[in-house]
Formats: sequence, C-alpha cells, structure tokens
Amino acid sequence: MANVQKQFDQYHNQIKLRQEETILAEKRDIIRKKLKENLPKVFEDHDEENLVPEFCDQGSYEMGTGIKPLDGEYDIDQGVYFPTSKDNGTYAKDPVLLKERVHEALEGHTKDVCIRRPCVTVFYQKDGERVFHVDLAIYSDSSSNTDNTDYLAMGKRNSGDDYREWQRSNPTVLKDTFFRRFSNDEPARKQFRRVIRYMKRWKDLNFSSDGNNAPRGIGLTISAHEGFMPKYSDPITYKPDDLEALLGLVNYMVNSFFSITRNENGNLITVRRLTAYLPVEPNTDIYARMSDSQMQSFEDKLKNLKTALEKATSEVDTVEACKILASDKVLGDCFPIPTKEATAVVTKSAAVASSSNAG
Amino acid sequence: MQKHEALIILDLLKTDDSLQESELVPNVEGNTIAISGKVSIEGHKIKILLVLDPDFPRSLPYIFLQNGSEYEDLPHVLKENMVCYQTTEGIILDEKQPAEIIRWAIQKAVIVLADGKKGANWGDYADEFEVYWGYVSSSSIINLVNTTAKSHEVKLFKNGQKSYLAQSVGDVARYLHLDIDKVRQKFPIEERSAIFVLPVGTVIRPPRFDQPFWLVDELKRVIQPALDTLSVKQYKQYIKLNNSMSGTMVFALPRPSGGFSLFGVSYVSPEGNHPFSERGNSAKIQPIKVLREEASYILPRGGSKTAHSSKRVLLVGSGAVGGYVAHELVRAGVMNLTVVDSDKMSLENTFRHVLGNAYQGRPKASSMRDELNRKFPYADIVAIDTSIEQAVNDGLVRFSTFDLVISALGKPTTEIWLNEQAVKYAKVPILFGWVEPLGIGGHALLAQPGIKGCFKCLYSSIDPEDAMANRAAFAGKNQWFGKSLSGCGQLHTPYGSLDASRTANLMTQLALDSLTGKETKGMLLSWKGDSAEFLKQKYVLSERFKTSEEQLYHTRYLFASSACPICGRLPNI
Repeated sequence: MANVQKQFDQYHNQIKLRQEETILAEKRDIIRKKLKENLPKVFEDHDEENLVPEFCDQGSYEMGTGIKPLDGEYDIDQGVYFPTSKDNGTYAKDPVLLKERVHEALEGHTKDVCIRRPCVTVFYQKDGERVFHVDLAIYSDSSSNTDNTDYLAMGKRNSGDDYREWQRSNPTVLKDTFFRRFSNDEPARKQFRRVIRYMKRWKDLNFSSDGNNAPRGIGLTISAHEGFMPKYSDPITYKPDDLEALLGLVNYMVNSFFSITRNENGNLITVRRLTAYLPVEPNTDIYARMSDSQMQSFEDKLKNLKTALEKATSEVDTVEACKILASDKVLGDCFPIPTKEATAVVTKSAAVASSSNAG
Repeated sequence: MQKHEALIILDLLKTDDSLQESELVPNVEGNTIAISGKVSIEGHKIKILLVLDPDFPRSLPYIFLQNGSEYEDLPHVLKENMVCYQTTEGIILDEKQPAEIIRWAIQKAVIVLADGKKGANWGDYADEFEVYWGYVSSSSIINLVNTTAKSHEVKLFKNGQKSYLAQSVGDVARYLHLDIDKVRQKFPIEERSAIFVLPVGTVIRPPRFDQPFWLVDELKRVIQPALDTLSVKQYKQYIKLNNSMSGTMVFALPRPSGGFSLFGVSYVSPEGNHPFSERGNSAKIQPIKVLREEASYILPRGGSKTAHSSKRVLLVGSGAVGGYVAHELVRAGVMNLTVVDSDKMSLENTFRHVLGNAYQGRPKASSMRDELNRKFPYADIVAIDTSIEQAVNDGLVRFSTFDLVISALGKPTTEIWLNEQAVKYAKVPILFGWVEPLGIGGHALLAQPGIKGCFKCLYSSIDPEDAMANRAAFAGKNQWFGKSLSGCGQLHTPYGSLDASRTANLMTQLALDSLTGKETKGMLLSWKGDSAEFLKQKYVLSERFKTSEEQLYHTRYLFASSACPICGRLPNI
C-alpha cells in the first residue's frame, strides 16, 4: 500500500481558502462599515427606530472548512444581528422589510446587491464577471426575544406571506457542536477539516451548482460530523492517513443511504435517500431539497468515489495511486502526481540526530 | 471548653435518659471537663465518667468505668478502666451538636460493654492483646522472625540494652546493615528460644495491669493449646533448649482480623528447671513486650501471592527519575535492588534529585544505596559505580539474573542497546522512563520478551526519514535542546523534580504490575505537562502532544512497530 499522505498535504494546501480569505475579510469589513454608516439614515427616512447591528462570521469561513471555488466565485457568510423582537418589533410581521433596509443601506455599494430567501447577497465583479459575494444573514437578536433565541429573517421580495418568516437559528452553536468532540484532539480536528474540504472539492467536480443539484457544503459537513473517524498511519506519532479517513467517511455515507417506498399517482415507487439533519435548530434535513433523481445521482457518484478510493488504497505504486486520485471525478487535477524518479529516492537516515529524552 | 458551656451541654443531656443523674465533677484541672452519670446496660445501671478534652466537641469524649466495676475485666476496657469504643481515625464530628456526640459515644460504649458481658467480642482480646501486654510489661525485645503457623526454635541476640529475636545472626546483620562480626561484637549474648504458636480461635483474657502478673500455672494453663500441638520430640526439644537458669519464650496468638499478636515471657529458675517442666513451678516469670520489626509485619504487601521482596530488580541510572524510582520501589516492598550509575552527585542535581545536597561529589549509585539503607530496614541494595556497559564487561551484571531491568538513563543510544540485551538475549522484561524538556511531559515504556513492542520500536518509524526520531516524543523532531533538557547541567529547569517524580510514578506502577504478573504485555504510558515555557522558548510540539490524554491512554498498547528489527518479526498477540 502506497503512502500518499504527502500528496494529500500538497492537495489540501492547493484547495483550502488561504490568501483569498484576507481579500474576503477586507470586503466583509467594508460592508460592516457601510452598514454602520448608512443604516441610521435609512431608518430615519422610513421613520423607524435606529437599530445598531452586531456582526458575526459564519459558515465555512468561520468553521475553517472553506475551499477555493472551481468557478472562481468565492463567498463569505456574515451574520448581522439586529436588536428587534420577532414578536412585537417593527419587523415582527414581515422580516423581509428589515432585509429591504439592509439592501437599501448597501445599494450602490456594488452593482449587484440582491435579496435572497435566507440572506442579502452582495456580489463583487471583476471585468464584468462575478468574482465573489458576501451573504448577509439577517437576524432578530436573542437578547430581544423572550425565549433568548436568535431568529433568521427568511423570505424574498416577491414571497407570499407564508414564506416570510422568522426562523429559529443557531449558527454559533453549530460550530461548537461540530468541534466539541475534537476539543482536546488537534490531530483529529485538523484531519476532520481536511476531509470536509476533500468532500467539498469532490462535490464541485461532480455536480453543477444549479439549483439543488449538488449536496450543500453544510450537508457534507453534517455527514462528516456523523461519519468521520480520525485515521493515522502510525497511532503513536499521529501521522495522518487522509486516504483512509476519507474512505471511511465515504463508506459511512454510502452505507447510510436508505430506501423508501411512496405512492405516487397510484404507482408505488422506491427511491434512495440520505439525510443530514442539522444538529442544532431548526434541525432540518439539509438534503431534503434534493429531488429523488438528484439523490440517485448523489448516491451513484459517491459509490464511484468509494470504488476509486478503494483502488487507490490497494495500489502499491505511489504514482499509480495518485493518478487514480487525480482523475476528474475523484479529487481532480489539483491532486499532485509525483514522478517515478521522485518516489524512487531512498532517504538515507542520519547517523546522529537530536533527542529530547532525559533521565 | 468553659464551665458555662459544659452546663449547657449538661442541660441538653438531661432531656433524655442516655446519661442519668448526670452532674459536673468539681475541681477538675485545666480546661478539661468531667461529667459523671449512670448508663443502663441490659437493665443494669452502672456509673461512668465522661471526660471532655479542651478541644471537645472536635474530639470524642473519653469514657471511664468506676474502679471495681463488674465490667472492668472485659475486652476494650483499657488501662484506668477507659472504654475503647471507637478508633479516632475515619470519623468526622459536627461540633455544633456536642450533646449528640456524647449520646453517640455513650451508645457505642454501652454496646461494647454489653457484648463483653455476653462474651460476644472476646475474640477482640487477641486483636488488642499486644496493647494489654504492653501495660504489664516493663521490658521489651525486638522481633525479626516472620511468624509462621507452626511453633519453632529461634535465637535471641542481646546486650545490656537491646535484644533481637531472629532465626540467625545473619538476619540481625542484614536488618542492621552490619556485618556478622560486628553484630556478634555488639550483641555478645546468644540464647536459644522458641516461638509457641497458639491455635486459631484461642481466646486469652489478658493479665490486668492493676493485679500481680500470672504465676507459672496460670501461664501454662493459658498457653496449653500451643503445647498440645507439639509432638513429644518437639516438646522435649523446646523445653530443654531453655533448660537453664533463665530464658525467654515468645507466644504467637492468631488474631481474628489476620496475622498474630506476639507476647513474650522471661523466666528465672534458680534450680535450672524450665517453667513448663515438671518441677518448674517455682520459676519466676515476667511479661516482655515484643516489638514488631519483622519483615512480614512492616514490609508493604505486594497485592499478590508473590511477594515483591523476593524479586530482583536492576536499576540503570539513578539520576532525577531513577532516584525516585529506587525509593518508590523499595517503599513498595522491592528489597533486592542493584543500582548502576557512573555519575557523581553535583550541585546542579540538588533541587531535582531525591538525595538533595547531602551526597555532593559522591557517586550516585553508592549514595543511593547508603540513603536507602539508612531509610529502609531489610533493603538489600547493591551499588555499582560504573557505566552499565562496564558493569556487564566486568561480569558484575548479568541481565538474566534479574526479574526486571529498569532504565532511567535518558540516553536512548545506550537504552537501545539495553533493550536488545534484555528482551532479545536475556529474555527479561525491561522498563524505560524518561522526561522531556521544560515540563512538557514524560513517558514510561514496558517491554516484555517474546511480545511485540519494545524500546527500539520507538526508533523504528516506517518512514525512513524519521528513523532516529522517538515516535512517542512530545517535542517535535529535529530540534536541539541542549541545556533545556533537565538531565543537563542547567540549574533552573522549571518543575524539574516534579517532572521526574511524575514519570517515576508511572514507572513504578508499571514495574510492580510487571513483577506481580498483572501486566504481561508491553505498554507505553505518557503524561502531558504544561507546554507554556516550551512554546515561549520557540520550540515546536509534536502531533502526539496535541492529542488528548484519553487518546494517549487508549493507544498505550499500540506502540509496536512492524519495522522494528528487534521485535518486528514476532507474531501479533
């Protein structure tokens, strides 16, 4: 069995969000500043009380599971918390109204600001193309609510009343929940993050980003939360074995698909599903929005991934193993393939080395 | 306690009849309070005296019977008729409830006396026999003989001041860490004597301190069960051996709670007749207290059938870690220890070495021997003041003659050699222990012959780049620590001594588990310390340090390496 951990390390360095993160952080800060400057005027224009928001990073950016996008469009999630009650504040009946105020405060900041169902999105363009966007999730702050819970403003401009709602939401607790099991275990925590990134990149390589075609990143993160087990090539030195860990997770996911039979227009049809319930409120199934056929494709592609990873695992030759991993529908061409010569070099061990032992 | 407080307690006691006719005893000295009253025992009213110490109610009251009480001749009624109803250890008192404490004490005392009257607790006499015997004895002997279930002959070595009861002069010599000639010189008188063992379940009512000691007849009647177990030959032998004008006998009374109570009797017989012989009735006998210093009494028990005291252990390296290991091993009852070290004690060692400053400039191994001899009777320590390689070359050390080899050298080069000698050639278990720089942690590794997992495994990474890096290390590889290592000549190593003793604790536990056979596999135990100082000095930690203690413990059996040239080809167990 070839050891491809070095290649996994290089691959991970390639795909993880790094320098781009600082640009994103700059944009985030500019947006924060803009909102602070413009919101008082917006509220005044509408004869409403001036609400001063608080900000909080969210999503993969905050969790440290972000990857570089294949299509080049980076994103960052930002929580914006307003001290307004979801029961009796100005925006209690219509959360979209508050999103409109945010939209108004940012209008003209870039060419492209729009209200989407779970957020307000600010798009940045370069040479006429969208290069990244900032998703602003708008909240009614827990301190303003009698149940001491944050609520997310849901709904779009053209949504009917039924789709305009304050939804219980707990993103900060989500991160704690994901990482609690690794609180004292850095090697495992790091590998957990790496494996999530591999899965996300696999997703980007295998699914189009239209609609609900692809499993969402948060869904893959939940699957990893459920199925990831740290794997080491040496249990004493904690040298990671990312290939085994990734295969372990993929196996878990493939084995977690189940069949359900439904009556559809008088016909009994059996479909395959996988679930990823948020371990915090609103405890929804992230994969629920994927259609049956999208699910089927998800399962098929996962099985293909499993087969490829198993093949790589049993491959003795490092070069061959890397070739399997670097293919289009596995981890992609970012995965490095070493030359035959490089893998043939035998490292000569030193005759004298340092030691940290003392009696 | 003040008198007015005592009066309040007295009032509280009068609310029920646990102490009837209670009243303060006048004119008691100091801050002690005495209360007299009557208690009911099975319908009889008897007078008692309660004495409250100045620190009452943070101490229990003393309870005394009146002189001449019909209850005075019972178990747990001690000198001056004090009723021993509770040991002072293992209890906690609520000082806010002094009257309740007194009621509780009275209740306990009443039970003890009632049981005594019924004969229900007479077995307790045997448990406390030495206490009672001590009240009546005016002289003592020191016993070095391990008591067995059968009566046997022993010897008494004495001078004007001290007497040692032992099997042989060698036993006394070993106990006192003297040579035999010196013992004979110091204790010129040698007498033959015997220990008579009474049958299990024998009940003897001890002699009272306020009455004349037993006559020969009484003694004979009391210990007759022991004489009955002797064969005619033994009887003649034991009686004859004392067939002189004077002598000493020791009796072993089995205790219900385990072990024996020992008591002695000396006799003077002007006609030369042994007290137990036909014409021995005229002998004068005196009680002698037996001081218990025999190994089976004072050495710690190993928690297994095999006593640690019979095991032989080789300790290589008696620096900071080894010094603690040596002490803890002996404290645990490992008596045969060979210590090898070529180093001398230096000033830099002072604050982390168990020997401190007392042995400065002297070789570490023989200093350790002298210190252990000074502290612990029965310790049999051999010191070799050379390197282990030299000791092996000189034929002073043969690994196969030991039950366990321990290395606390902190020098992996030598230890890899030691590892091979022990597990591969001598087939003896070997234990290693070492600390890491600046308080980040320490490790103990036990390797067993014939089983996968040895010290060389730590230096047998599958990755050839890491062949020389300790796989268990908490410090990242390829960093040079030099003076930061606590083994080096640096004066101020943070927590140096604490690091060493924590590591020694792990090692001693593993050593004992190996010696008792409780641990038959190899094991790697590590403790994690504080990394603040280490990181402050810009050193890098290993991934292993960054995992949890639980995870480290969980993988304690998994340190074997298939690439190990010593044990890698052994089958998996």
